[in-house]
Amino acid sequence: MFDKSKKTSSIEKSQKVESTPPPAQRPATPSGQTTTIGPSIKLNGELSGDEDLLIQGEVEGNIHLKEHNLTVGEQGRIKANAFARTITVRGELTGDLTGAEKVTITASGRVRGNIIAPKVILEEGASFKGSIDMDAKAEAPALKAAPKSQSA
Amino acid sequence: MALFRRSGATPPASAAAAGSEELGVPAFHHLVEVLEKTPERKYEILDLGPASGNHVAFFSRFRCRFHIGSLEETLPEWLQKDEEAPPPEPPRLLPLAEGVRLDLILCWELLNYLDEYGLARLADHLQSRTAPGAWLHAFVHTKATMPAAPGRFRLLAPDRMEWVRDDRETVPAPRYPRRTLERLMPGLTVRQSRLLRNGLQEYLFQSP
Repeated sequence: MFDKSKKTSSIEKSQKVESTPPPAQRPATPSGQTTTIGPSIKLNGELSGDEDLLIQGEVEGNIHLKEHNLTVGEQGRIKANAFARTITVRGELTGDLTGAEKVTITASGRVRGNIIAPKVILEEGASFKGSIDMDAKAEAPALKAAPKSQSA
Repeated sequence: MALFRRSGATPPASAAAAGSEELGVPAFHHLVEVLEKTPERKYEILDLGPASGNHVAFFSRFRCRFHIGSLEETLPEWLQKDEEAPPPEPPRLLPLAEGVRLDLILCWELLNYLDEYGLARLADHLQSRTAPGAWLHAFVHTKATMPAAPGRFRLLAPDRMEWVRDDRETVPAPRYPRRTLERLMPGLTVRQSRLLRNGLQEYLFQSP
């Protein structure tokens, strides 16, 4: 699923990576293919993939989903820069977010970092400290720079 | 709950502070008109208040990078203390990315919750990060008391805001006069000052 060749990745506690999360947790995706990193999983390294991803565990590193959706669930704790088509944060995230279409921080989301996206939604009650680049004319250079060779 | 107490003063109890009211904000309206005159320009805007989707949505009409400072989280650390330990450095309390030069700073009513020491520290920190001609917008309480914690401002239109006060407690307001503000924030000149009907003084400052 994930190409972790760039950095040494470690799963500190082994657990099956679920491919079919409960319907209530599944983010919307055209393909319907979503992978979940469960709450007891800890990952260090580089994540990339060609399907949507829901993170309920702990991740440190970088996340590249290119044309897919990333959701940080309520239990998710992330220290990473993330690049995806859409990013939704319901848990904790420290790092920079680049969304090709949209970044949403829900009421339960807590984010420290910088956001680049043409559309940014902060729900009432969301905690955010950092900057939001709302220049619609600006491209998402970091997203474009994401390595094409990395795939699921 | 009271976020801030001034010099150990006992705040008078009040049940009239909570609620919301709509405000006409002529100085803010003028500011929006100024920004709209140069739509091609990309602005660096610092919102010192907490993260607000309403503010983000409002300023998305401009090409801008919108910084959220959440100053209310660190307010006590800006104030003068008797302790020997030095207070945290302003860049730690309000970090801004290297190279950022701010064009607009939105203070809302947060200046009222800083003592003169804290206000001068904040102004000094911001001044080192502002672009020439930068604007600073703020509300200052002119009545004897103010809500014990800062409220929230919802932008309804360029000339209208809703002031939402969650705190029913009140504390004495510093009622900073214009001269004091200009002394504590050297380099900033008052461009507009309007007394709103609810007793808030709306200020628009500009740096040279």
